[in-house]
Amino acid sequence: MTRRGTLTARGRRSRPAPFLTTALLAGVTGACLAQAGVQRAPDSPATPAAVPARVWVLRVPSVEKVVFRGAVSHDAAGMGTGSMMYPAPNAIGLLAAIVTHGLVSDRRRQNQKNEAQANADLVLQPFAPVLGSFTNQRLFEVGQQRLSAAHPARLLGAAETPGTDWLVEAAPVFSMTQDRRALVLDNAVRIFAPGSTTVAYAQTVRVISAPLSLPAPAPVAGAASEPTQVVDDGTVTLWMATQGQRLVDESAALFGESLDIVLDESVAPATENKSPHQTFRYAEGGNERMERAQLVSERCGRRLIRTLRGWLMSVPAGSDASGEACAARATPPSQ
Amino acid sequence: MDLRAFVASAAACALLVLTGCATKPQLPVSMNSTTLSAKGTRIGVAMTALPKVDTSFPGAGCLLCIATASMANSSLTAYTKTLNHEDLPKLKQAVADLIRKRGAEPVVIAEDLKLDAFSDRPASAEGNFARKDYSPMLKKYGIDKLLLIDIRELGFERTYSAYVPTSDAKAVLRGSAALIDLKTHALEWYQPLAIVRASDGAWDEPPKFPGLSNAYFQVIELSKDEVLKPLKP
Repeated sequence: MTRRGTLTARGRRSRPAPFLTTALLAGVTGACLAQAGVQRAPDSPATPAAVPARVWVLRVPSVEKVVFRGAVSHDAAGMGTGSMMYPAPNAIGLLAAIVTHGLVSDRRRQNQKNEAQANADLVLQPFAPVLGSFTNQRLFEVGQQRLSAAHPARLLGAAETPGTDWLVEAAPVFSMTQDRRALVLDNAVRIFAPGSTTVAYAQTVRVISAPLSLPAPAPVAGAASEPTQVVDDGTVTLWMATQGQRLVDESAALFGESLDIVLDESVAPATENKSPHQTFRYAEGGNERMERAQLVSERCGRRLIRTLRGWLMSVPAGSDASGEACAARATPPSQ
Repeated sequence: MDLRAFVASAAACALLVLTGCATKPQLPVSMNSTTLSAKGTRIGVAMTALPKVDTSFPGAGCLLCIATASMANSSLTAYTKTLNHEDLPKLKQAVADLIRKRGAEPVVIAEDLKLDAFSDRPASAEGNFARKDYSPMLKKYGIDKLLLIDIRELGFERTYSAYVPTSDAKAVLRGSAALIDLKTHALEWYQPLAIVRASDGAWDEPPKFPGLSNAYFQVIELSKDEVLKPLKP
């Protein structure tokens, strides 16, 4: 692939001599183009030298099960502004009282957050039969098949060595929105050059699935008289179809997309993109969310943005966030 | 003074303290669908001066507590001063555009309104009425109604109990938006703005506080939504 000639700064330091030469050439060429105000076309070769295709190895984490949790909001967290009368026989007593108050307050705030997370996790209850047997091994196997053809990869056990290939370590954590209409993946990815134990590239990427399209709600007899009963609005049925295959497939698709994004970024960082910061709106399940970020790219009904933390986010873009829109764009009209 | 008289006096004082200065909060008033569609109605659109983006530490009551909270959050306060109002100053124009779409005639009032310049109106026990007398605007601008956006607080807030923080810092915007009939003083729409957003993940990330900054821009967007959505055709 042509874009593999461009390397990250960290990648350059840790690569073997042939890669280093190529990388330096690419760096010098890029710097010259930048100084001349010329932008390289995305598909034009970065260097005249042919660069061997990278083969990636994905290390399956030693943690057996895929981490899922309920999406939680801490907007209302906190314990108000209650006043406090400190027992203060002397200065040391006052200090001890304040320290104790601080420790107790910290503990209570942490408990409050834990409780909020535990309540949010209740949204996953209907999916327990699937999630209980959903292992990282399976996620990585299905996710590997979802990787684009530009990123040939093989799986590696937790204790195996990668040999002469580039090692990719990932720590995926999935969240389900409280309306059960979307999955959110946070994936912290680290890449190691062949034979190196130093991280060559690290990036955290968040991928948000397009919201589930729900069938028209059917009237539920007796629902009003049983408010505590969990009523499936269709989302559980959709995710759990064919023994939860949809849930597994969607998770793997998000995982594959996150790896594609990071691997692309690791070989061709979008540093040329100097788009202004703006507040992007996107659908997260049935709710609208916002993120202050820079636009990196937009295609196939999805938008890739760089957040203020420097993380990458792939979010549904508007109403055409469907596979159909992507397919339509991928197939140009005949001339 | 006997004990009974002392207790009665103390109770009376307590009652005065607790109720004397209390003002009944204005509840939201939803907008009638025909309010903005009356042809020929001139609606002034005004804002008060936008507050300085700042930090606040409610609950840090004593002087030493305030000093402690200010010191503990000094890097956040310093960063806060670098934030701007984004496009909040353009909110008036966005409101005016929507009013025009609904059929009424908007009049954008360029100057920042100073609420202290208007006299107080006597509190009304019933109904929803403005607490200030904005009727001078009627003649000054030739308008029938006033749509007033009053943003009083913008920035970050961290609650305290004396010296000890009781919450993470959060982005906050507080204020109100109202539509006032200048002849009757009736509130034809009242929308309190009290938007609080926590950082997604860690908040204490000096020097740029990216999580809190993201929350800050969220509260700006959400406040614009709260003002503009009821006006949309």
